[in-house]
Amino acid sequence: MATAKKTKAGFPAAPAVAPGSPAKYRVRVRMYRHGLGDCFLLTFPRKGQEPLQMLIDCGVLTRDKAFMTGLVEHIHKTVAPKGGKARLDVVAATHEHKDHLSGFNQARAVFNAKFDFGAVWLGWTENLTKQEIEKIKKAKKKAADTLRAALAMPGLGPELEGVEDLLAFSKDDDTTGSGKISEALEYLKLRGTDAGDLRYLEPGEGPLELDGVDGLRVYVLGPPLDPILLKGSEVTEKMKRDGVIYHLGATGDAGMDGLAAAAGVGVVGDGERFFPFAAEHRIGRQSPYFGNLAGFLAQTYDDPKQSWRRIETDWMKAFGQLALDLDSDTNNTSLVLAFEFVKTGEVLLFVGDAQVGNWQSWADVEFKVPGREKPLPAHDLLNRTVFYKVGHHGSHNATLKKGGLELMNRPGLVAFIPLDQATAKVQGKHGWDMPAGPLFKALKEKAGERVVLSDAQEAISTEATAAGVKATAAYVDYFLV
Amino acid sequence: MASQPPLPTRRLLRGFAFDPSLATKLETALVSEILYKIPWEQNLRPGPVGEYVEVVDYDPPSQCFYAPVDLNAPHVLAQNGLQPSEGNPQFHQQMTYAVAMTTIDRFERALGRKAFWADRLEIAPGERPESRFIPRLRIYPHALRMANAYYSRNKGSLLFGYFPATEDRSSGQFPGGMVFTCLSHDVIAHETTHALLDGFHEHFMEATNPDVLAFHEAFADVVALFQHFTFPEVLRHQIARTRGDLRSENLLAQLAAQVGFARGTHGALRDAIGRFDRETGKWVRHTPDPMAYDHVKQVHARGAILVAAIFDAFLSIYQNRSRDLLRLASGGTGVLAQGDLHPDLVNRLAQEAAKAAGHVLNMCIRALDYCPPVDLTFGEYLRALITADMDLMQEDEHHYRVAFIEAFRRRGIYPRDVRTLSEDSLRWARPGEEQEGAPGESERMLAHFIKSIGLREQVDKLRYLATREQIWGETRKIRAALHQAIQGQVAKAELLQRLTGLALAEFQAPPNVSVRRDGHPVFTVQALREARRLGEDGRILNQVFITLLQKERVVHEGNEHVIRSGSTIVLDLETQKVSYVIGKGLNDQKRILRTIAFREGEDGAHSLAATYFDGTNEPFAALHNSGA
Repeated sequence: MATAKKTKAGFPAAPAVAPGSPAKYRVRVRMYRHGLGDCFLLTFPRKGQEPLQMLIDCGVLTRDKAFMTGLVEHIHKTVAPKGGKARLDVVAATHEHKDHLSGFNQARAVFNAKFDFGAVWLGWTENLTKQEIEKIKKAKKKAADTLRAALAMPGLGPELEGVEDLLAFSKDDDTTGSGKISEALEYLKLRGTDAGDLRYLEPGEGPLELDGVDGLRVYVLGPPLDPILLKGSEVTEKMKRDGVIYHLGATGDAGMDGLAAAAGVGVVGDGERFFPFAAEHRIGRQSPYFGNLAGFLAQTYDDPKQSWRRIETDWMKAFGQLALDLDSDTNNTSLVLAFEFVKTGEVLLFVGDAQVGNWQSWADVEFKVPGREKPLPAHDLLNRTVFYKVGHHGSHNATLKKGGLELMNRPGLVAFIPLDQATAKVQGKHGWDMPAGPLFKALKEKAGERVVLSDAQEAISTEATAAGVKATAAYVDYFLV
Repeated sequence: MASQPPLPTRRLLRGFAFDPSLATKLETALVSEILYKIPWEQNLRPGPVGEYVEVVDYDPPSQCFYAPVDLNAPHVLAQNGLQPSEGNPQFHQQMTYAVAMTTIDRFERALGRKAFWADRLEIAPGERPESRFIPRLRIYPHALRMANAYYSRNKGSLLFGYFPATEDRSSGQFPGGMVFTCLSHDVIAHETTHALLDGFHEHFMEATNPDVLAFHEAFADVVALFQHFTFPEVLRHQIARTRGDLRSENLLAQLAAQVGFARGTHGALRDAIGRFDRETGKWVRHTPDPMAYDHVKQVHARGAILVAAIFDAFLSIYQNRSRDLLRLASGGTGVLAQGDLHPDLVNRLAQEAAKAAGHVLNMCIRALDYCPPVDLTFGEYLRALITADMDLMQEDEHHYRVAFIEAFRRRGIYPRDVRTLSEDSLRWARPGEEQEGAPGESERMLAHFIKSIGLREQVDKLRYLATREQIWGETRKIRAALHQAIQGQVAKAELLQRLTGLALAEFQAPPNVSVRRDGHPVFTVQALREARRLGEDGRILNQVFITLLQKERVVHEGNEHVIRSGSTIVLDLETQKVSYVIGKGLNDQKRILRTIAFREGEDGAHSLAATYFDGTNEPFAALHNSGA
């Protein structure tokens, strides 16, 4: 199994302002080039005061503490070029995965010592004061624990290959200082409470305004509400059809308990209830009754000529499925934000790692906008998107084509993919399919050469430069002038 | 000895009609059990281990075995097998054996020949890969702890899972109660059919267009569905309950009710005619959507379109066949009086339904002989259905074929390249009809070809072989001889080349087809099947089906793709004529581009597993997990 590659090199030096940056702009979106992970700094200049600074995510899959501290120091240099405390007016965390949050643990000291937070925005799925939400979180935690226990089992089959790397997204990791990912969220909640502005956002909420930034509205598209938490009448036809938005919440614990018991962990009591039959029927190889079966098995299961038919590890596929469910459940809790410049109608779209279910739910999301008679459908925002932060590092199920990318019809669309291909390649048995070929092709059909990877190995095309993209070794900037 | 009774022809085994859930409802408890009547296997050993299947009950997550049931033990024989029970693993073994054998028997009776499992390709280091005969499909009733069951070609096995029911109390299930997929008739029949179909057409698991895997799923569902109509008690019960209207909600049209409910979906896993509407809490009938075939790509959803079309055809046929009964029972109005139906009427309606279902299932299975060996589409399957039926039943007395064409049309399933949707244009073209050259010339050449390879004599050798292994071995020899015969003479090869669109003649292969050192292009005689069927007019149809396969390598946008082509040649042994050549030739640019686009995922389903795990070597494991 491939293990995460750690790079010892420090965070690259780079000026706070990229050479060639325009003096005047409406927003600058900075994508850091720090590896496989998301870290975006949005800067909105304001009249008569410092620009408004908004941080969306700060995480990476395989970097150490020193590297990420360097990155956060760079954010500080950008926000407070004259030194002193830097103010992040809004800090948004999209979902509880390492590649989006690790920095808040790894560079905690810098965040504590050198940053003031104005507000913290999280998805409604992080509001653990609500009992139902806590239940879903617990189910996820249990799934993760079950999987880790399964990985510690003797006699692992090839079915478990790749599961460990997949778990890296939610892995508590002390070697890189990223610690418990859930703690990063708790930390952000504390900072939000301290600042007196902690928000759990729901789809359809908004438009929100950013203090002092004129003519800008922020809309919340996701995470989608969970059908299980809704009343029958609120469950739409679509939700039923795509009833897999939050899979773990729907299946309950029982299946997981059975798997956990088989993996030999987390069994309360004697584990008897997880067996399909009473003890009298079960004949293990050590059982005194095994002798009665030996003749039958010698001609069937134990026949060396038929060893290719044995099924010792096939059942472990269940763990692979569980790992996928866990991953996609968490990805679907992604906070999805759209920033609209009211005068021009231009929209910046940040989707976190939202997957198919999250995207599909936007078809029913609407906003009550002042001065507008009919509610504004979320798809209208997609239609006017000029900047798209590509979901889940360009994997093919994190950008919906129909009802997603196909709706983005503004000429000059720019797409940013936070992706380090070298890291993705060494994950799993065959590497992760990022960016997925067909999606990449579809993105290029829409955005031409204005598809920009954060990968430090990738050059910035002239088309992208012409569209307002500037780059250094440490980040890529997009300017909407 | 006079006192020795003759060997029984059937073995009777008790089992659940659908699954255990019927037994716990008052309404259906009486019909929840049925007697499966399966062919008597003289040498059935404990397991059961018979000629076709072997049940090996190993439960790896629980690290134990369950003792094999001995169906020949006197106590078991005397009471038609063990009593249905969820808590007795030996009954589970009996249930999987009974349903798997029922399905195999159904298949063999429709085709009139023995069924075979997919060969195993054995690759010994340093030697040429060799196909091996697999006598028995292995069945593991308790292999997985998950709501899944699948056919694994790699292991020549069916793997069934068990799982606790959802804790959602509104599901109507005992929350957390153990649910066994191996106790569901539908799941067992579905998986067995996958294995049978794979043994029949080994390239139907290669997704080259959105229809291929969907067909695999749909076909497996169709077999499971129509087997419901062979349960007389349930059939009568449901006919009485629906007052003969099988278009209303009924158990016969539903698949895997218990598994569906236990997964918390508020309905059977699949329903051919309707679905549960959560908003109103009621069952609603599907309305056919002529656009669905264009935009529905997910394998199960797409398969459901085909299942619905076939079931719709069946319902029309049943209505046609029973209209006179309803008129007789209603004083000529055709409108039944309120209240329960007379039991005699129920019986007669049940007979008509069972007869129609049997015919439809026969048609569906026989059509497999008339399918192209690769890259099947639903439209081509319709053509296969129509052609197979026209060969056998020249008069379409009950309008079966019209019912099929109409049902497919309503769902927007059309074959490519046919002029009209009439029976005649849907029937596969006969060779010679569209060929250039002197009239009758290719016909004469073909007759000569059939004679010169001695096809009749070859096939005769198969007729009186006793075991499947002997048939398999002899067939292999004939295939080799055919291969030899085709490439042995340029004239023959050229003629077949023209008919099939494959490269068969020496030194004429296009550059993208591999050629052996002696100049012969590489192709295989993949299969040889024979069928003797009795037509409605008492005529015996005596046919041989030969499958040729070839690969070509195509470079597209810098990537190399292997594209399979192939033909099914249908020969009539009585008249010594080639009836049809059904296939996909080389160099079909449109098809090649379509295949490449499909493989690159343009139309593929969304799958997270594809991102992380680079596909899977158990295609049905992943498929069935999302939709069983």
